[in-house]
Amino acid sequence: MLHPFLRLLDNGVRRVKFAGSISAVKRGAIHAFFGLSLLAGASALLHHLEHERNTVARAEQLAYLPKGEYLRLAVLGYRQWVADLIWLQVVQHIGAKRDTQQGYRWTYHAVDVLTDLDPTFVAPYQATGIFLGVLAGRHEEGLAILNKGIRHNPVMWQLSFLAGYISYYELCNPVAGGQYLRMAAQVPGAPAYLPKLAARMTVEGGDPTAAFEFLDRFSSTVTDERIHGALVQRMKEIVQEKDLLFLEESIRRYRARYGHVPVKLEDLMLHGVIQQLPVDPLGGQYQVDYLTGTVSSSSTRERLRVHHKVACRAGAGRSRPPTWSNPVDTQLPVLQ
Amino acid sequence: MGAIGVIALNAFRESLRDKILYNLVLFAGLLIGLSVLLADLTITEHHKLIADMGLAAINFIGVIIAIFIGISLVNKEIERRTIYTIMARPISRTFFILGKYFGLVLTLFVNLSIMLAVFLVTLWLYHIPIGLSLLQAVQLIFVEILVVTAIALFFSTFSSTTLSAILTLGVYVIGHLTADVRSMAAKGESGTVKAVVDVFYYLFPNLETLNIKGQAAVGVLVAPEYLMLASLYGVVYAGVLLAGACAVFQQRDF
Repeated sequence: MLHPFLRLLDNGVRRVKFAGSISAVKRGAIHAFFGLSLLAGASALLHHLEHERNTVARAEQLAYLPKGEYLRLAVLGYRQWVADLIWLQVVQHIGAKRDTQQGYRWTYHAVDVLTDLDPTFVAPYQATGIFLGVLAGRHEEGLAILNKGIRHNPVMWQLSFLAGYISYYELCNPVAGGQYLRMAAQVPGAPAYLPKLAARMTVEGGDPTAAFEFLDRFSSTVTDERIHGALVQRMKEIVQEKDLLFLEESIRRYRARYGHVPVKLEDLMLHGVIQQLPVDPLGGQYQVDYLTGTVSSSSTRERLRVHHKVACRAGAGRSRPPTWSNPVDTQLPVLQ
Repeated sequence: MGAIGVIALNAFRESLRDKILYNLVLFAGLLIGLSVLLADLTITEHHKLIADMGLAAINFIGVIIAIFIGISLVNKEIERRTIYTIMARPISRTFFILGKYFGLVLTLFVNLSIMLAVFLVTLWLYHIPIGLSLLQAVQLIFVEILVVTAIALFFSTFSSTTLSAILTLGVYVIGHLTADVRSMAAKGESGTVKAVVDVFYYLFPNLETLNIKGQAAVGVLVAPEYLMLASLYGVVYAGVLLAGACAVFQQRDF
């Protein structure tokens, strides 16, 4: 037995078919109506499906990409085209900002595949190097992508420069950082400040001031606003970290002098331990924990990650005191 | 105008009546236009992305036109039985094949010129520098299309339209893989496999030698000698296929 709606539809169609009184215009209108109704239904279903499919599901697509060595055979002479399309997928995933550790892994895989297809495509090396190696904390993967980029594009000094930063500051390996920077300095057309920065890096492992200078120099070579914004954010985090370390050092001096931790940070200023309180570049407020003497910022909750990285400088066996112990020495450029 | 010229002009006019041609060229225009929208989604190197997509669209649509019109040129004449009226005239079968080929080549040249114009206008509108490397890439794309057209025409002289399409696509795919397969075989230890692969390598066209889209998109020029030799290779290979097509068509009964 036919569903009432189908019966109605069937009757309607019969009428359209057999009743000679209905003009061609009316028939066309009925067809258009049914067509549009079905299209609306399909659109509604699609809209529903889009909600069902979350960002992780989209990122999963990247995981199913075959290895570059096989894919490059399958795409015939359209390697660059396919590489561009994969890259656009990766960019959308990076831009979604709902990343998981698995998502990072898939991002690495996708960029590895697309750079197999088009090894001279520099943007993925650079952007993924920053994304994984600096922002997502997946330094080894970021460095691996950059090393691949350096191998295929030895004239791009920016890749060695970025690898130098990750080695130096994120991986606490000033020797490797210096090597990368010297490699970058040897590229014709590389900035003149690179050899000096390489020398300084080797001496001052883990110094946030040098790291800041690094990112400041690098961000000036980046034209894309999103990457530039991410680098500026990172620079602000480094300035904040420097401030927090400086305040904690000051609290230690205060404690040594008065036998207790100051109730509030302004006490440091009132008792002449510091001249002025630093301003949080991320717009938060610095607060002291009276029990532990540690300082935190209301603007960030991920201080420990950066702090531990900076703390690795202690193991570097440096003879010089850390530069942030003296605020006069740490004149960082003003962030916009 | 000689017999080849007359047949070529007629083949050109005939293919201009094919609606699929206009649809494909329109589609190429849309693809090139779409590349601008997609380029906005990427991070840096927008120029490269637009150039990549534009060149790929020109190549892809050019090959599709070459295959699908190339396979039907001779078969259409046979199906409509118009071949009898042509063969009844003092026109050799070789001239017929060559005329058909040059007619299609003229069509493809016009199509490619339209697609190139759309591509260059897109680049100009978005202030992307138009380098010589892009024109070099389009030159080799045209040579590749010459080879593909010759393959399609060769198969269409002795097989049905569908089979010709399948065989042409097959040779096109193989043509892009021979170099990779040869380098893989070179890593193996079997001398027989290497010898067989070598035979296939020289027997099938190496279409990858005509693919410089990647370096062209980033503005890297190829040496004029390479450009000339690669073009010559394509033309010579197309000549071999045309000679084969003429030989087969000569023997064919209607």
